[in-house]
Amino acid sequence: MEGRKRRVFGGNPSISIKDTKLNENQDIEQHEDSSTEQNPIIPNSPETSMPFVENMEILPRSKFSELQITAFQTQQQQCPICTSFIGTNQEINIHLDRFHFGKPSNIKQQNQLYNDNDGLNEMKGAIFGFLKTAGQKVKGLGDTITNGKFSSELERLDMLYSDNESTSKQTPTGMHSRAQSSNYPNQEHFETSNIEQPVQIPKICEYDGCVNNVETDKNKFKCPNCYKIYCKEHGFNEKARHMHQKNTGTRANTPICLSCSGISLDNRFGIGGPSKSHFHLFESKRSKMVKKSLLEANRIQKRLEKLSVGYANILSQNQSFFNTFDTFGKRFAGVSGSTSTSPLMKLERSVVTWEKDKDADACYLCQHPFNSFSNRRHHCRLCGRLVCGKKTCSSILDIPLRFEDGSQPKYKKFFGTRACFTCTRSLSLIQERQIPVEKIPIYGLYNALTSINDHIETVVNNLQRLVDQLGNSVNIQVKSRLLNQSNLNRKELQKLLSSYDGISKRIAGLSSTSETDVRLYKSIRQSVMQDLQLKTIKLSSISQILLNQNNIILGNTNKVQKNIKLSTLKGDSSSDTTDISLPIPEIKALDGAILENATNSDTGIETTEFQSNLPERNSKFIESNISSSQTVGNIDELDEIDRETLVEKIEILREQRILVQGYIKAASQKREWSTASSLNTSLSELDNEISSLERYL
Amino acid sequence: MDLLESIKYYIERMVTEVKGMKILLLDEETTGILSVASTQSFLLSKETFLVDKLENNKREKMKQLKCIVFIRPTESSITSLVQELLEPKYSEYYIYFSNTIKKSVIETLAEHDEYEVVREIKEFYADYYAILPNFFSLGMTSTNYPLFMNRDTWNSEALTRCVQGLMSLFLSSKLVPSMIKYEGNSRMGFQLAKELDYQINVESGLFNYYKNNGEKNTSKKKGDSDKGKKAVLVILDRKNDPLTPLLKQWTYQAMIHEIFGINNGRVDLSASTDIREEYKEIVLSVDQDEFFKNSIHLNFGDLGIKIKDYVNNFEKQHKSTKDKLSSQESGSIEEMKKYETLQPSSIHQLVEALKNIPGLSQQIDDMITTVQVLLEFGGEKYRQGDLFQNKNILSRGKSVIRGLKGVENVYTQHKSNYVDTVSKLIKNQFRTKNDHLLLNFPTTFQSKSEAEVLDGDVVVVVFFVGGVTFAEENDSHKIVQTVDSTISSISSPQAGINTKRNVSVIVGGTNLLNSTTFLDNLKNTFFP
Repeated sequence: MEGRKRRVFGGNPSISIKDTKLNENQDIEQHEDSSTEQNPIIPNSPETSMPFVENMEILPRSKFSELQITAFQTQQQQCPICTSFIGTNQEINIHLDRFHFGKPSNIKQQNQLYNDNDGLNEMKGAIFGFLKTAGQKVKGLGDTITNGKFSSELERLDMLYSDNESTSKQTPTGMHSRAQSSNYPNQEHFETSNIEQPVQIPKICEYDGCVNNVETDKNKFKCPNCYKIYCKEHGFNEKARHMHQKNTGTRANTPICLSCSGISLDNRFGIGGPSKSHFHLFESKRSKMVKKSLLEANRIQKRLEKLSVGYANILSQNQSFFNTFDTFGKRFAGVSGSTSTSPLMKLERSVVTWEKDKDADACYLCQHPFNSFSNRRHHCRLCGRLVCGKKTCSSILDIPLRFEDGSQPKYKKFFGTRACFTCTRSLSLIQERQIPVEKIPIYGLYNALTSINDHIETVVNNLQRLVDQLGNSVNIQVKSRLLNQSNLNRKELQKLLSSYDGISKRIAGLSSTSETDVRLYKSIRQSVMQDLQLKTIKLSSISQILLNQNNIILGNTNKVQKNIKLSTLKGDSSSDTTDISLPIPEIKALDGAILENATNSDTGIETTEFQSNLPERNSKFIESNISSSQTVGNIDELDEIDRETLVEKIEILREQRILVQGYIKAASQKREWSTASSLNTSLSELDNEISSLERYL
Repeated sequence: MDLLESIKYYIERMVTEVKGMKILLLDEETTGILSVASTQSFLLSKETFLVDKLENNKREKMKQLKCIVFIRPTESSITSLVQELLEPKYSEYYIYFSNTIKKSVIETLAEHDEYEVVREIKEFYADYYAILPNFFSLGMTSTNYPLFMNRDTWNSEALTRCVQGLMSLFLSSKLVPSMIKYEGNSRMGFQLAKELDYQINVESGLFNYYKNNGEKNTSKKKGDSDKGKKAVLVILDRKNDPLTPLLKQWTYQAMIHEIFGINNGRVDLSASTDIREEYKEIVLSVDQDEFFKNSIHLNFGDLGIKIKDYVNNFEKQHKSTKDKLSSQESGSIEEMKKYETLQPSSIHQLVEALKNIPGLSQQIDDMITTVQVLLEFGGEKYRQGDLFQNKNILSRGKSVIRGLKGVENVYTQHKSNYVDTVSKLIKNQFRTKNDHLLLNFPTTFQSKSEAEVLDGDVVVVVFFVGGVTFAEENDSHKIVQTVDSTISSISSPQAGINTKRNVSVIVGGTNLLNSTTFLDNLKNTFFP
């Protein structure tokens, strides 16, 4: 019984009236014997619905659709808050309940809620009357349908709203499931079949990692809050349920699952404790508050518009009137209302009733008592309350002037009017919401930066994969093909890295008056440099592998060449290999340049707040660089080499030398003596390398 | 069991859950909590480009940023947060509280979030300063959380802070507090135990770490272990051992703290003369300083040898660049040497110097006050236990026999008496009632007898009301060692069953003491 009531009223607000009707149809069909199934019942007709007086909650809706919807249906309206939802009054009411107002927790609140859109009381009366007559017609049940019972029904309806807020609705799958549920009326048992719910019932517990079978009823627990199925073990615990009720104030005395209670333990087996989210409760509380303040803000906005049009009209009729006030300046424009005959005052008082002077002895904001000299009474033109003239309590608001058709008057675009702090704030609330995503230069640049970073990640992964393949393959031809590919990738990476660096430089170079902006730009640059250092370490290890591979291929081809003893071919192949090896020094030079930049500016930015663990990485990077440079040296000894490449290599080594010197400086500043010492050895090695190469030249 | 990692885990989740450019807003205390466990480069790598204080109201509007707020749920922090929400400066707010919050706090925040900028409100239980993996402090000083209302009575704010800190300690390390022990003569200990138990009871839903996990089958075999690690909290009162903070701390880290003071992992050297700008403040971190990590527990003598080796090594390696670097190195060494020369060998110099100090009588007055304060705090009539190991004939005899010969190192001769108490507790060796100085406060989770709780794997959390010293952290390793050795000797004769227990000890206190802060705190409390 319980289950079916939910199903009928648990309509999803986004489903149109047609759909709900359809569902009701199905419901009734299913309830009928097979004989009546042949003649589908039209729910709109009261006579055929009467046998179901016991299921009152079906009737109100069908009756409602007949009586009310036809009345309202013609008036398609926009939701006053989000403006994206369009529907009839009733639909909008439901929509407002669900999405903007939170659930009304009792019948009184609900009534209050509907008082503005006076539909409900009418509707209630109509339904109630109908029920009474319908009941009398059947078995004389009319007497039993008292107002109290009706309210309790509505209350249930209200509860259904709350249940459905976070979940989808439940519809019966068929006769079988209903029979089951009626057999075990006390059991929390739902079958799911719905647009939003998967048709398949999960066979194992939905708790992450649990493999328990939940096909049997005994072992099953269905959370009434999220409708997930858990095994009894993991479904709920008393504490969670207790806490949930405390937090959300739900009346239903049903236990809920652990994840719905807000407690989560995302890292159950490793290090790291649990956490608890309060956002559900927060959101429900906030939506109530925001609803109120938005309604108020809308109201004030409306008044503002009226004033704007009114002022504009008065202006066009009585130009001189405004001109005189202009000479006094804006401040006097507000006082204009006090001359009782003025059209301004009429206008202002028609927009909002003013509080009488004798009703308030003190400013409603600061409680400072009024007197006729130092603390005069002022009326807020938007809410009509009495405030004092202090800047914190009220100010002159420049209202843009507009005619009904939206055109602006020619001579005067704004008119100053006194408004209290509360109203100004409400207005700013609306304006704040209308501001689109900021169009600040950093926004676009940063997006570009992140997208490039993503791209770099994929290319690096690609390259890593290629290098792995390269290491595994034996065939020289395959190898050289892979080498070529990876070199292409490296070129791309080179470009990406330089543009990554470039964009970050542009961000750092952005000019801004605000100090925080500058700090932000600097730290973005710093993080990019940090990132670049990490990436170059990876890259240098890859380039070392590539160099080695290149070496192998070079060695092999040389062997082949020696065997064949064809000097012409030899020249060709060596030029080939230099083609392959060329990009490597290039990219190294670039890495070096970036790194150098990084270290140079690193020292400039203060890192006293937190510790920096860069030197360790640096040393690793240097070591790999050193070893790769040694391989460079080995290549040199292999065969006759171009003078140019040799010069290039010396250049690279020199750059590295500068880099290492920078690192030593940084390391010693951070008191990383061991790092500095190892760096020093590498420095001397570099020196040796360079001098030997120079001698060679 | 690693407190540093537990805090790091929360920080990492915080900055990775929120994507995009962001600013991190902290309050006074969370700044400390965070800076002990995280680095700026880490935050930068997670797109956290700015870090600022929440109460700083001069921050500019930057709508392009998202904002992470990580604060303790204190009244002042919440007030600043409300102010922030009234005029939001950033596009989205993700609020993380370092402890449990009341429903009223959520309501207050909801009422003030008119711009609907808040996207998340979470409790992340990182509410203590993790100084070392097994050592924590709650950073309560006499200014922010004065400890005593009067003798042996808590100041209510300090009590709340302690309860919160210990709660978060248990939660973040996934411990189930099975038993609370407190010293019989300590009313503060009792109050803390009572209040903590109450809070644990209220939030007991949080302590079900493993009860609802997926691995049902394996947990059945393991039995108890599926309910999280058992923890025994031992609350000790500083008044029963006022000696340890006063005796010189003789291990590397303790010495640094004693002489310079370590504040959230940073050492302020700006008071010393002849120091270069970049060394005015240096960072000591187990993660990033290899030398520090290796020598953190070395006593003065061993440390000297280690430093000598280090310098020698360094000189060997750096003959080329020696000139510049070694001078710097020797700078810090020199300070050590100065300290060394100040020790016993030059006591007569010290006396000479004392004679020449102007206003000596004033200082002597100060000293007398200090002694009074000390007696007031931890005089014999307020103490329990055998602090000087002279209470019964047996222990007196022991110390006579031991003399100076049995001592490994004269510097570390004093052993804080808690070691004995706690290792006896773990081994369940209290024979008589009189011997039993610790009283039991059963928690919600204690379903078995004391002996059963103490059997098997257990984490012992030792909490010093009134502050903890590095010496005590150092001693905690001795506890584990003694327990380990006894267990192995017992278990070996038993056929085939390896009953090796997994006992770990976490030490912490209301704050991190050295002799100066200890005495200052006391003076401020008893003679404000």
